[in-house]
Amino acid sequence: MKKPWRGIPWTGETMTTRTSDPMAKPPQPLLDVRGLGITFSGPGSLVPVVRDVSLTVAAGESVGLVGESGCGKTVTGLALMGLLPFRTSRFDGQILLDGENLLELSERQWRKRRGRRIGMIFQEPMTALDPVFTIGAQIGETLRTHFRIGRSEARERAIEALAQVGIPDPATRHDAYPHELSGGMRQRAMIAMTISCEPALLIADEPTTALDVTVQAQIMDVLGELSARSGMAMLFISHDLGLVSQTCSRIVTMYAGEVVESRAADDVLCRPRHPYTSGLLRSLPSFTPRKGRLPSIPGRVPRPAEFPNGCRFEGRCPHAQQQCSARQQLQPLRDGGFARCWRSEELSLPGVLS
Amino acid sequence: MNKQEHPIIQAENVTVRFPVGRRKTLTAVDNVSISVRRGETFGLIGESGSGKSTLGRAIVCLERPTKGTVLHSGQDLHTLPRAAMRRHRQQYQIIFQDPAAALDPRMTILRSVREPLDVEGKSSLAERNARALEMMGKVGLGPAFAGLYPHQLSGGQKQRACIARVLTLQPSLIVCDEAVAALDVSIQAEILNLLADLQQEFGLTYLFITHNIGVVEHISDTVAVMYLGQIIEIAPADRLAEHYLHPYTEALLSAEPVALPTAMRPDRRILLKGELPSPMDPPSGCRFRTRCRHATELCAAQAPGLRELAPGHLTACHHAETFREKTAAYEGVS
Amino acid sequence: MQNQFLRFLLWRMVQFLPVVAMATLTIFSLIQLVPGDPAATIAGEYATAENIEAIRHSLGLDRPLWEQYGIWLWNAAQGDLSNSLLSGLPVMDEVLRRLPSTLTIAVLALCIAVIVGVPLGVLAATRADTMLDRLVTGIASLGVAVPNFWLGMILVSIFALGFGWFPTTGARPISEDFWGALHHAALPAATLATGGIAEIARQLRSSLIEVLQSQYVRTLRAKGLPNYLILWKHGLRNAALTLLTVIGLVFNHMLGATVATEAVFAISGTGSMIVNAAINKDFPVVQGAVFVLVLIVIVMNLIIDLFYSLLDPRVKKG
Repeated sequence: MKKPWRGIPWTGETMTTRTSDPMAKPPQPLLDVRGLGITFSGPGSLVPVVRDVSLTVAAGESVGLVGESGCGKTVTGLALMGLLPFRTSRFDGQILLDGENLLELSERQWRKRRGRRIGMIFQEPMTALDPVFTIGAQIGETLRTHFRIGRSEARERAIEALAQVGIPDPATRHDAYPHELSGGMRQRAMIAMTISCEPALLIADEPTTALDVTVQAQIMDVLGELSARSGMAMLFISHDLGLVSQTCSRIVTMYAGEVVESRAADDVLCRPRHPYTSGLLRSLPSFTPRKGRLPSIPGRVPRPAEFPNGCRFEGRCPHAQQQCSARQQLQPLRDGGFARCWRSEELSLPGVLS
Repeated sequence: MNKQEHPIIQAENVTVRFPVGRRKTLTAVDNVSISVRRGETFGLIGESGSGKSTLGRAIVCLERPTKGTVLHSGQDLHTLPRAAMRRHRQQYQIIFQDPAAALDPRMTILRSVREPLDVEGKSSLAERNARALEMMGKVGLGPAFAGLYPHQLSGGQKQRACIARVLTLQPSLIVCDEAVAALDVSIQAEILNLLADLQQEFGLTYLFITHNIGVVEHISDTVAVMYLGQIIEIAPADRLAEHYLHPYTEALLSAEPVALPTAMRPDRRILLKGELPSPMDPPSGCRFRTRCRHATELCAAQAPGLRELAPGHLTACHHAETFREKTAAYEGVS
Repeated sequence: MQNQFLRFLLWRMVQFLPVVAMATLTIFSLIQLVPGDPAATIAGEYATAENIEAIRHSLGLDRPLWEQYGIWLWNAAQGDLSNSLLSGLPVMDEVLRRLPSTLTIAVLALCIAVIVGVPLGVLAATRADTMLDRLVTGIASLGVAVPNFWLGMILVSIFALGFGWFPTTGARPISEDFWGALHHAALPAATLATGGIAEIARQLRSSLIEVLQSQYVRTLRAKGLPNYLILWKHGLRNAALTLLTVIGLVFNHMLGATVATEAVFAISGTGSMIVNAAINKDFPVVQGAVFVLVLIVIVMNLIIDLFYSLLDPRVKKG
């Protein structure tokens, strides 16, 4: 099918800066987050919720961001979108999208990239769409924010986007209100809205957690197909290790506001290099004989105000030693990837196979 | 017959209907019969709209069946006088997905745990406190938690408090309605271990309602699969994953994500077509036929009843004996 | 579709009938508590007891109370609001003569309240928890608390007596002199509007804050929509239901409050008509006026209900 808008070049301010670099470096990743720190300021207090988060997503790549609740996954995702309240949030480090630091952009410049170069879908399809506008109106509005197109063209493209995510009878559903659709269909509509502007990167924050497993399988199928077809990269935020390992080629594990491991998915599953990742994998019921005792990680994720100075996992780690009370750095590993544990090379941690 | 010889729960042709709007009715549970043995864990799996929670509520007498009966150790509690029914009902307790909603935010944990005993009003305050503290100890909440309020507890600790609360009444059966669904995997593992320990210690029977196949396979002895208000397969838990006999079970199993490296991952994924039909207007014949790729004219014409194809393994599918070969053939083609 | 709509309309009308009956019955009962005897008033100072009794009999005042009310209601249902006990003139004529002044004030007050209240509410919501927000909400609380008649007198002394911009009292019929009528109505309407402004600003603020914190507004920001569209298109549209409800309540309240305002500004509207008639125990007049006002309130509510189903697709008709 012919897509007239596919050729429209993205006319962001960085076009010149991207091409002006004469040195032929290795291809830069689409998204390059370097040492991102996020601090929330409350009345009379500063709470560092995320520290030193570094991760990359190459064009067309799917990267999973995993961890328990309270580990800073969602906050990181919102920060990449510029959706945290600027009045009460402080940022350190860099968020490089196409080589330009989003954190240095004005609110207006960032807004032009939001929805266009980088899109986001959320956990609750029930509440993520405006209840008083039709699905089509909300997609059309997105398109008309970023492209100079008329109403009829916006309608055509919206219907096409709905068809792309597998919504039956898209022309009728275009004029439906969100409450007239099921949860799965709403999440599809949400995806259609987000991909209608063909972003280079999609941040998916637990997009299927609120859905049934067979519906989840349908949605994941749609997302996989879209990224394969259009080369859209994905940062997939989830607590579900199974889902992430099915979808992503690389897995980034977060714990207590830090990245603790970042490696190829299969490597993480077979030979995790951080005790926390290992603990998460081992507590899945599928890897323990039926009725057997499930391994679990003792204790719980500390609150941001109570993050320890040294290794943040030390208190729950079965392998902790004296040196763990020193601050841990994200270190490159011999077999690729990174881990934030000084014992990562010496320990042989159980993954899903052992 | 001796009380011990009856199954602890014997649901016979249970139907639960709700009025919706003026003239319509929703059949949440349609002619379901199950039998739960004393001391076992009976897993009930299904997606939203399958009626699994309604069935769970009917089993603890929170819902009165429109048709059919639920026998508790051979006795229909709905036929008893009110006071006797209330006394009997205490043995059948339920815990829910959201422990935060089940605990009063203005009550200390000790008071919340003690509350069922307060309502019962049979013992002195000192005895009730002692009993509540004992049960808190059993679920891993030390005396330090007694004076805390729910907001000071994590999700896992709140669920422990809920479990302690139902334990105070010395139940023989606990319905766990998505009791671990909202918890992180590591916490989920702890709660599942705890439930197993308590089962050992108190000889509890569980009816475990969940949408998570991994969890249900792990802890159950028997698993029943529900779809649109009906049970479509019942099997011993260790048989289900390999020897399933219903296309819907097959789809559920294949949809469940598994954390395995690429090389070991089962690459066949069955995607169900379409959406769940409305429970107010279910399809004729087999309810799954509108989404089943093995459906034939027979499936539309005649509703399949549960048939026992292996010891303890029942399925409601006309093509139970043959559909798996066809599935293999599909994969061969594609 | 049309048929369904008509049925909906009819059904709402039927639902309002008991409201009308209750309202007039309450008024009727309350009037009985007012001291005085209309028959004696009509008969004059030197009337004999027989005279008064005769008048009472001719007016039907010697019948049982429930019968009096029943007769009145029966006539009212047929469009006859009977005659004033004192003047003997048809109540309907008198009400219709005075209604325009009252409605002019009330509608103008409502317009002022919306025009001023909505931007204030939006301003407070978008600057939530700043000095500006606190200022607006503070003034709003004040606006709700200040009594109308007192504010009316203050406004008169500043803008009518002090600057001489507006007439101090009276009204002009809007059918003859549109601008003159508005000019006369300006101060009473402003008096009446303060409570409405405050109420609208407060309610819109809290409703809008809730909308702006919702998940779908996060989605709107995520797709790069400019802030003004998020606020004025999606924010207001979603807060519109609350706004509409408040507007309805405010208008009802304003109609009631015209009684005091008309007294302050010496306007011969329905409000002052009710007060005078009540003092004289002229119950057909009081009831006729209340009956008409209740009807207006009901029509207003009906219009608002219709807007509900237009604004929110989740509200089904019928």
